[in-house]
Amino acid sequence: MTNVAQEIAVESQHAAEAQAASAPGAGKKRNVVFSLAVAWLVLVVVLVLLGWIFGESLPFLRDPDGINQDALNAGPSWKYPFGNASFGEDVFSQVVEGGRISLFVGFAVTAIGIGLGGGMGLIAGYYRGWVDSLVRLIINVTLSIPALLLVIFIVTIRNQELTTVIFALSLLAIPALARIVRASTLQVADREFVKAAEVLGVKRSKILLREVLPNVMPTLVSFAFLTTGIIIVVEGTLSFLGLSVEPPTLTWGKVIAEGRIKFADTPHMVAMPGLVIFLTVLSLNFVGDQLLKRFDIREASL
Amino acid sequence: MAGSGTAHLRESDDVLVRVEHMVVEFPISGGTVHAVSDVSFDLVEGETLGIVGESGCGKSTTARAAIQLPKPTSGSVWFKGLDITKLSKEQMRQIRPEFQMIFQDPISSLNPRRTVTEIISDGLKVWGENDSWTLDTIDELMEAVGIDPRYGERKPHQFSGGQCQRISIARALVLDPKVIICDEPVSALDVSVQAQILNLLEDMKARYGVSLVFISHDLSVVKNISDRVMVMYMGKTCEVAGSDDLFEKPTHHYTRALMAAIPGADVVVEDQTLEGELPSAINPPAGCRFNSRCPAATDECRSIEPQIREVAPNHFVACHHPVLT
Amino acid sequence: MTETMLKVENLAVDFSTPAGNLRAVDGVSLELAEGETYAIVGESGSGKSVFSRTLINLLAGNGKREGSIEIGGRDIDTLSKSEAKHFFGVDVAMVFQDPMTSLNPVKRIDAQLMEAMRYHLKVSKSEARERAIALLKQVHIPSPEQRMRQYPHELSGGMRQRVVIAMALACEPRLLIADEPTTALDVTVQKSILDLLDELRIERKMSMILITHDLGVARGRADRIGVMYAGRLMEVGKTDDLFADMRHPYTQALLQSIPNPAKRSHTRLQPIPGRPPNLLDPPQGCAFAARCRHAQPDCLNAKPVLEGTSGGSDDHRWACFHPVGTPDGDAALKANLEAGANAGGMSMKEIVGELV
Repeated sequence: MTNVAQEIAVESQHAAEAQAASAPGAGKKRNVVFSLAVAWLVLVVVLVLLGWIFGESLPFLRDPDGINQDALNAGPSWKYPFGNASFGEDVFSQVVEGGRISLFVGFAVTAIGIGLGGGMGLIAGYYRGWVDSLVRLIINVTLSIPALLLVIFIVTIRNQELTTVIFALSLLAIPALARIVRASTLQVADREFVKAAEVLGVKRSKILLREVLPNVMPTLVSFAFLTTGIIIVVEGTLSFLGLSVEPPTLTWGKVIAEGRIKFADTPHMVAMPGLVIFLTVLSLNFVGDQLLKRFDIREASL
Repeated sequence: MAGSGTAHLRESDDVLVRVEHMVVEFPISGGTVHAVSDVSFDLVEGETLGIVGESGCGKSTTARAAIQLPKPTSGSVWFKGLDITKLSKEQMRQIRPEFQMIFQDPISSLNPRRTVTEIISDGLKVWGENDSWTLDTIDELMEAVGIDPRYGERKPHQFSGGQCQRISIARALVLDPKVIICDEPVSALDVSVQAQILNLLEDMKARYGVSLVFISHDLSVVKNISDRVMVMYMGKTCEVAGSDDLFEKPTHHYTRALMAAIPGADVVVEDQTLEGELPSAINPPAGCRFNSRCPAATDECRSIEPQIREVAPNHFVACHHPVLT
Repeated sequence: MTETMLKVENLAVDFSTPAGNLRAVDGVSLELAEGETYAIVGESGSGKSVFSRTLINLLAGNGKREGSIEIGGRDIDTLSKSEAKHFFGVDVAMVFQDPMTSLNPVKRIDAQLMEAMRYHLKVSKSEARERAIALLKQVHIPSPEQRMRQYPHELSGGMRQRVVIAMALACEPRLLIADEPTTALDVTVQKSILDLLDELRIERKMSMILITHDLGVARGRADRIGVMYAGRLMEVGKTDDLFADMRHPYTQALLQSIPNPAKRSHTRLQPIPGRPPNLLDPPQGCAFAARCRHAQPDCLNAKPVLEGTSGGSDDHRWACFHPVGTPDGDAALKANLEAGANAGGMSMKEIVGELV
């Protein structure tokens, strides 16, 4: 490892300077925030999953629709950390249940976006030619349609089912991810090690999978986190507008929408789920951003 | 110079690769880039051919097009009695192991996410083991190029530029190729490391019997490593001669200008500085392409393209008014 | 006796990095007379670029300078903030390796040229324009009036470097620092740019620090040369003296590692084995000892200082205990060849060819 230090130190003092400029203290602070973000995401996912599997048998969960005459519109308390709704329902339990749809939609759409969009971008960026022209056309056309309107349109003309919502949101995620992955692939495909593999006589499809993909992966993974965050927000917006999955299924957006109607009585019904969305999306963005930076540093030390 | 012709091609039996009338053009918006215009060359077994010229002269494109990366616009490339420009993609892939390549940027030419052993043994995984190398003898190959086999599990960023270039050389050698194209392999290295790599290339050539096409903008380097040198300017051949011969008696005015520009060296040519700018490769000058900057240009040079001719035994030049001493 | 333009005394530059303190420049002293060119030659990591940036006050935030720099008789530490603003870039200017980093890609050439003049010299717009045209003529840019309206990307690499040189000259510097000004250029263009710098230097009686990795460039262009390795000057002297009578084994090794076009093809080259020391953990003795053919046990324990010989020219000095061309140096080399290794354990088997 002294060799590495030597590389950094001797062969590029300027790189060393740059690294030092971002001061060791700042790096540590960022690590703490990164850990906090990851911890928050794990907490949210685990809670939602536990709620899904065990439901009300868990000590801290109640029937999200359960009426409680003693706590109508009550604010947050030890017993009900997120407060109660107008019939005394436990908002915390509602948020935990609503998370199922919100998170599921976020992850599902991202997975579809990466699978289809990422695949398209990868193939277009590596094979170029007519495939690329076609993919670029698709990307540009879809991206030029006002996104939210498109989603609202689809959800309106079809029934408000989970699959419809996922389908509609995927139409947003696919072209965006395709474009990012295509740009990244173009860059990687230009590097000489890809040429070198061609010279070795490696098949094109194998080059794509073994040389190009692993180098596009960091970008892909980081953007996956960002995408999930965006989709959760968009799904929240749809729910809020009453355009997501039909009632009585709960989502985060729907809890907020309900709280908004009686905002004067139950401001916590907007604030608490709002805070959960905010922290979750913030964490997703932060983790995505940091992953991108970390992978970048690895490259920079080259 | 801007010359064409095939007078310099040899007829002997040990000619390994023979490139005839190769043209490479790239369409761009607003015209066509004439990157390589009617260049011919050959390579005999065990020889090092140096291709020298400044940026934009098409030296790298020439060598890459010869191995169909990408396929030239026209012309033929003969190898073992086959015109490889006529091969299908899959047929071409089958003979890829015969032609290997070393690139300029030592870091960009290695996949940062794979280990050194993986990178070097890649060729064997594609084509299977060959008479010279097996997966078990990879360590020997690493030692031969000066990489400690104990470091095989490391990734490229843990090595210096010179070591990365050694890894590239090993990757090329593992397929037991006939020809290795070295595209500016030492340009990114410090001079002391450059010498290590040049020596290594000489050793590997002698030991494994490969022929080299060595591309560089550095005349001193090309002279040191080459048996025969081809000087190029704007996609055309200027002069072809034995390495020592070329440096003792440069006859083309562009060759002479290049030699005069070697900093701090004693050379046989008079001091001169090349005037003017490189003309556009989309719209190259008529006649000899060097005429706009040549101190000896005449009307003839501005209208008629010179053909390659032999001005001394094994010394070829494409110039209407060569400097003959 | 001409005036001293630059006087550097005991300059050291330290960087604090996450991995520890890194001394990039270590005790460099030099003097440069008016109108002279001083070439600093070294490989990557030798500290030559840090040195040049320090001269023009472009040290990165985590860098710390020790020692004094006097430019035109003025100690730069005595400059007030407002003086410094019109000192660096005016009295002392710099040309960098990559012209594109010095040029703003979205601004026309004329705007970039005039900006500095108007800021530093407070001249009117029309005067700045006239001066800009004159400058472009001076750097041999044909039809400057048209070129001025172009953007950097419309020019060739050589033309861009000419524009950068014109920009550096805009405020009539007395000292020009050229950091690898031709490394990114073709050889024939390199020659014309170096010719241009020479011409301008003579015309303007300007002094120049030429930073280069290429001994050939230094040999052809500099009055004096300082060979730098691991932050220290290894050998300094008038160019002719230095080449006629090379004393430091590093200078010699550097020269021998370059292919000489005067030699026949396939002449075996003499590389320098190993790699430069880790500056985060510098060796106790001579920085080059580990790779040096002459290295003896004493080289590993103490750092030699720059010294000349008694009776020799004062200008030619070297930092070596067993210099080339002395009986002691010859004996050291012979002993190492016989032992098969130097004092640091470096194998001598790669040493080939004549060692003169």
